[in-house]
Amino acid sequence: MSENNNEQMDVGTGTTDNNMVDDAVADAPTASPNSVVPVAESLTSKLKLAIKTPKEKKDISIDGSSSVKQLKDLVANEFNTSIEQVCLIYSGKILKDDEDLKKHDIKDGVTLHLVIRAPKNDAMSTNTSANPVAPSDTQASANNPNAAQTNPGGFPFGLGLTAGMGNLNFANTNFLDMQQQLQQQIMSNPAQLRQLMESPMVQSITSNPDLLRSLLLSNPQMRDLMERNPEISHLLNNPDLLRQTMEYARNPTALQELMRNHDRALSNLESIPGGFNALQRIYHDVQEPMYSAAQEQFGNNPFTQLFAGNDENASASRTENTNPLPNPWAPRSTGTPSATAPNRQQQSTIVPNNQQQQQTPSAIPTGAAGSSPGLISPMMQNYMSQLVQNPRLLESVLNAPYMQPLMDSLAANPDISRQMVANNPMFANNPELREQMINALPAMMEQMRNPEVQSLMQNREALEAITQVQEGLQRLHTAAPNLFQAGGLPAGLRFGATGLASPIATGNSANATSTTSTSSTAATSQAPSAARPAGTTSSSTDSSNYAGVFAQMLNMMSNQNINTPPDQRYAVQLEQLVSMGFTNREANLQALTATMGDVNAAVERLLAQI
Amino acid sequence: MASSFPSRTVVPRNFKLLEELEAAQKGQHEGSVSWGLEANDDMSLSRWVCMIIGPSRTPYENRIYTLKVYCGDHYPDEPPVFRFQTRINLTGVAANGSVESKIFPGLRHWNRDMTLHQVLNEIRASMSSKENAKLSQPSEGAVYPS
Repeated sequence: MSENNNEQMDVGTGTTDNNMVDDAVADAPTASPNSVVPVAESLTSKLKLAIKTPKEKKDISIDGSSSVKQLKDLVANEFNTSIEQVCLIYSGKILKDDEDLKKHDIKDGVTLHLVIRAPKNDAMSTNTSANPVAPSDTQASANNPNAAQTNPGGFPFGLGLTAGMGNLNFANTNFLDMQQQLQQQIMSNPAQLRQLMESPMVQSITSNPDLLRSLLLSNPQMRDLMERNPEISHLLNNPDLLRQTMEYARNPTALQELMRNHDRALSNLESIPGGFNALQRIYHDVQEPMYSAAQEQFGNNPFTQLFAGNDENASASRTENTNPLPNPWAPRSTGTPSATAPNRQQQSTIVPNNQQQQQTPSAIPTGAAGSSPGLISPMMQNYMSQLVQNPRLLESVLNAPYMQPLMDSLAANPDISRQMVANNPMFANNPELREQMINALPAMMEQMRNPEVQSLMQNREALEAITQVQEGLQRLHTAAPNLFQAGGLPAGLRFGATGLASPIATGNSANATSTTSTSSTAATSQAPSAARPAGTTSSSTDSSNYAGVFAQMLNMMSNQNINTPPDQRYAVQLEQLVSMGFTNREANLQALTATMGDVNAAVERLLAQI
Repeated sequence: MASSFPSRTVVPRNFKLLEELEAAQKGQHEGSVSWGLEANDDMSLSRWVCMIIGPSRTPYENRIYTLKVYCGDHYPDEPPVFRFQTRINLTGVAANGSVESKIFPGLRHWNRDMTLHQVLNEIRASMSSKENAKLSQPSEGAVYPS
């Protein structure tokens, strides 16, 4: 039974696996358990589970056939608590010791909630009962018997001790003593530090960025550091970043995980071609200044040694970086000098291109353009190719827990991103390009935060489509250089270049590149015809003369019949969508047209538009 | 392309519920509420069980409240029905544990875009409200007769 459930889940989130969805298409309206997908292997292999308390989150891997008790054991270990204190909640249910993970349909990647119940002994050892004066203490003592009472019942209550400060001896009016006591307690008990950090008071401090900043500023060392290094002061002026930093400081495990993720991402980067050079660059641009800034305060930078021997290399790579990286898709053109010239020209055409993109009213084409402002430059192409070859890498980067807040903070502070671009050596000798990047940044950040774009970035197929479009542009460029010479790309092409979210545009590009599509379904053969009218409409929004030319070209190239109305072409798919519960026929039709009749993609599209 | 869309897509019931189920399992939300299907093989996706962990510095602190939720065939056009399993003394919860929809704005002004999660959060937030601060609570772990 759980297998079926799994499958439904996948449909809900729009997986790209065709088999699954085909099954689901039939089953969707009643969600009937007819289809069986073999997921048994996933149940017997290692599961990676996220264990989440209100304050922190840790990953645990465990064998899929384990019992809840075994899981609790692991969790208790990981969270430095005893197994009796562990209470795990999953999908609204409390997990009992004698059950196993299978019973609760616990799969790889799910999140379990952890409540750490107050330990009896610990509660006694604190001074709470001795000091009934403090209000929080009375509450604690009131709760304790309760907790003890319900323990045998299997419903462990209590989220740790009474929030933080209650543990301190408040009756002691001598603040010096109190502070000493506090320090001692904290030094002797790391768990207490955590508790303290989680206490409402500290929380309120950390959630108030102004207060936090003034605290930091009141530290002379810190102030000095900031004065000398404006970049750092910039960081400190960003409340989001500050808060996140505090979060990590407060939560050592999160920090560890961050480091681990970081390491993994770095090693991934290293393994891709050119990745090491990029890393070196990052090191020189970011890490080194930070370290040297910190060095004066905190001693020597142990890492400089690492790169001491590599100096030559490093400087070499630095000079190299000002040049565009080789373009893997232009095997024919890169060798000849004649091709590089138009290439450069192409770069310069980005200027109007970008501006147009920013003005485009429709959210999706621009949203798709998240990666596009520089897309046409060979450098970006190289990045794109690397990303396409390593979808996992991109995914891991995007899925890193700190990515979202980072994006948010970047978007909230255009200055930071602007500075990042301004200081980027990549644009050092190309002020035009830099200017462009800076102009495009806010929109780009906005786009990057768009979940649709993010999901797209994780979609290997879509990325490949982009590169195909890219390739098509290249070929078109070599084949018909005149097209590009009079400034501004044709509108259709522009859409093609940006065009991830509008599969219509991909249809265009399929035409332009005259790529033979791999799949031989009726849908794809009809694709170009779908593309043509759409291409004309999109070009009509653009004043460029070339739009017309391009549309004509498309028209000539598409030898498909374009007269079949979409509702006939996609009659079967339409029916499927309706049976799945999508009642808006017009929207369905539009989605199907846009996705060239791919029901799966259409569903995703429909759901994404909500 | 979105701009030219004739009207908003209506998410089918099962898709919405599956989305909510997945959200619960992924756990990308604040950690004090949890929800899931009562039985994993419930293909109608109608019976849900939820947990609310009482907010700190309230009478509900450190308590775990179990609720049952029923999502009918017309969900999400019609709001889900919430009912406490664990005994609780809370404004808006009737003597038998059922959550009165007129008290909680999330249920009163229910619309298709709302989720179980939102309502759960609202119920939990009400535990911190002033009017509930002084209510005496039944002994911990007591449940309503079903």
